[in-house]
Amino acid sequence: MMRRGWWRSPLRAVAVCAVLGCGLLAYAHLGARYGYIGTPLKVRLAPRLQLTDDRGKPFDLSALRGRAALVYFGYTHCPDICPTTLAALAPVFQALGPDRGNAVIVFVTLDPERDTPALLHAYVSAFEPMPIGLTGPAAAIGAAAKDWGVSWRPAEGGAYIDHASVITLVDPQGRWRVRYGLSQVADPAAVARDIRHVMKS
Amino acid sequence: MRRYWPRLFVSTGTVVVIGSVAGLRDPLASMASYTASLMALNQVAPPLLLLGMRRSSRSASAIEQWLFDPWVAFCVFGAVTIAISLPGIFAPAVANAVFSAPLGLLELASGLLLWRQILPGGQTLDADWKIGAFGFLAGIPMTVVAVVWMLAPAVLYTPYLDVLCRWNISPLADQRWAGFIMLVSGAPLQLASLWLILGLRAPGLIDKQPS
Repeated sequence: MMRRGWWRSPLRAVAVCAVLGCGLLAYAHLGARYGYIGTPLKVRLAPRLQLTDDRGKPFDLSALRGRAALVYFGYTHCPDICPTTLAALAPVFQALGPDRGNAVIVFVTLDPERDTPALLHAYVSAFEPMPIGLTGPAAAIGAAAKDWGVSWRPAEGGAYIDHASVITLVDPQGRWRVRYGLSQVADPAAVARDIRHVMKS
Repeated sequence: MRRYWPRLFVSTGTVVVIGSVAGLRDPLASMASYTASLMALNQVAPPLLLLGMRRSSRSASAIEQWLFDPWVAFCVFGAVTIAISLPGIFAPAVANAVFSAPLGLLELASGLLLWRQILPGGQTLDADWKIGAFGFLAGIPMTVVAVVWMLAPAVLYTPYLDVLCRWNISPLADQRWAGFIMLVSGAPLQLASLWLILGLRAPGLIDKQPS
């Protein structure tokens, strides 16, 4: 025979889980959290990026304040993921429409030995919109990659580089906002929406 | 010496909590280290903290009666485990809500609720086999997730897809390590539960408190 009041415990469980679920939804809603297609980052000032651009001039990321920046670390001899990722950003900028002038792509080489400013310039010129290519001393590049959370290692005797292939979206205030892998930029309209969002907030 | 054990347990549990919270700061660096931090909060810190806490002889308040109900502990633990490990099965709004929440706190709270039902002093179930079955069943979702992570042929979470993870390992290897860490973290719960189901506890070893 069933114990009297047997239903209390299941009812409590349902009630507590419902309160927990509603609490989570309220937490997300009250925080006015925008649903990024990329992976949101803890909002903080982006690490310094003081290198040499593809025209041989000094570059400082702070010069891009007022514009959103998509920062990507790769190398010009990369056979697959780097050109694929940079090419995947073209439709994103098309989707940005009139806002495309307020965003820029920054390509930082992980192979400064081979990627001279001239080679970088030739490489980035092949993409639309044309990224800003950055190079510099190996130590500075290594420190920048570490600061930006990009891990990498030489492969096949140094001919290639295995590296994290991620794009970091920096807002016009120079803060980290979102990170994308290649699979997350497959929807250009959604990425454009993210970029517009960080331009406004 | 025994009188110092509670302090030792609480101190160790507190150190685990602090260390784990620090490990949650950079979830994108490695799924394995992130999982290790979450598991430490969920399966390591709670039993240590509970073993070190003084048992109260006063009767439970209404809120405690709700929170320390085994059904509540079971459902909250299962829901938190599934929501955090398999966010893709929920609507995007719910998944976003889960990941905007303080996950470490959720893991710690659900772990405390669960382990309170298993460790001496907080048990509300009246027989060892019931406590064992409770713990064993509660641990199943965690074990299943761990096995899926270890055996999946592809990376299951997009944020880890295109990265070279901490220690220079591939995302797939990282995911497998994460699964292994979760499996190992859940093993004490499963073993303790089996121990109780099989009736192997020595009489008088654990003094129960009336609920």
